[in-house]
Amino acid sequence: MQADARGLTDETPLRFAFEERQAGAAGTAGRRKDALFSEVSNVHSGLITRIALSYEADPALRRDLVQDILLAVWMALDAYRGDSSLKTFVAAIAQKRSISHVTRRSREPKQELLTDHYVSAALSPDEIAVQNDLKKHLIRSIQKLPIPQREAIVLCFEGFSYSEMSEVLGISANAVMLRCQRAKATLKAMMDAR
Amino acid sequence: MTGDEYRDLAALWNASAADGDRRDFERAAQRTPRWARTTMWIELGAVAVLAVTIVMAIVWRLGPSTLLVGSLILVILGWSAWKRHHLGNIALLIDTRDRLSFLASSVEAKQAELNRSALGLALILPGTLLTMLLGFTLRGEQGEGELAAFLAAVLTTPRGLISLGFLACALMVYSVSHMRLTGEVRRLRELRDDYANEAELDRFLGP
Repeated sequence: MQADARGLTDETPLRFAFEERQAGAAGTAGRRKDALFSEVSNVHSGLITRIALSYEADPALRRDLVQDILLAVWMALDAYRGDSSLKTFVAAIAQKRSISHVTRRSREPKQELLTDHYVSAALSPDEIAVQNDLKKHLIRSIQKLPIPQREAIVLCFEGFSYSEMSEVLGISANAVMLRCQRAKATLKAMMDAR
Repeated sequence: MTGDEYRDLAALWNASAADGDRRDFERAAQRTPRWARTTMWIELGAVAVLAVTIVMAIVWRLGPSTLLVGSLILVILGWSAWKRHHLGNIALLIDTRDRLSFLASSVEAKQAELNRSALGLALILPGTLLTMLLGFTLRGEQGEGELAAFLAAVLTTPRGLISLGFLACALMVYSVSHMRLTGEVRRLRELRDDYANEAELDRFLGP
């Protein structure tokens, strides 16, 4: 099992639950919440940022969405008992907050002018140009996918297993597999159409 | 999509967060606990100040009716504060159901909000007219003027015009909010239908 610099591992929630029972003090619960939130912001920042990116093209609105997701995660951590992994817990909250965000939006957002920040620098200029173009197209295609397929493909890309996705989406693992197949087919059609 | 294409796209996607996004995330992550805790303490402080004020009022005017009304207000205040805190924590737990249930409950909640907004909008004008009539009746009892003169005073004096301006602003704010809610309910319904179609496809294509 791998532990990060703060000694947090996959079993951290269980360890904290055990410690909380042992100590039985309100202060321990507060420290546990702080440690879990710190893990969320250090380990799962990419996951949250990319989920927000898949729903919101406007950078200013995306900042608001990320803040909204973080606040929701902070509030929900009181209820986190370690039954699922922290990654699954965070993804479920981020997806639902993003769905609420999309339905609250009064008009279609302006498309962000994607910059070269999205590109790896370890490539030749030609390769950078091609990859930059491909990446912009991928982000825009994902943002245009129907939301049920969008959340499935994003979780696929983020490396979630079918059973983890089943927990996040609230459907059977078999349904997740079928939805991912449809999402991949739609995404490929959109990518090929450019 | 072949396995290689999928892996390439996944790698591309996982490298898609820009530096700006990461900096924004770090700032937001630092702000969140501080902001959430400050809000909680402000809410608790407001409840405590109200409770102390009510207790002081009860002590100052001690009597059976003051005691009864004051105690009732304290109970309601305490219950409402606890309920708000509890709801804030469990609202996200409720969200852990499947998307169709999540969207169905969201549609219900927004529809209720829309109904309340429609009622508010429908009541603004009659309410204002009734208030004006009540004002006129009270002035009439003191033997001051007729209805036409009263309305003329409302429409010509600065105070009357300012009141009408406030009324127009309130109507505009209510209307904009009502249109926003209508759009939200429509988008939620469309999304619920999208999810229902996907679930139907899952069932149709499944084993």
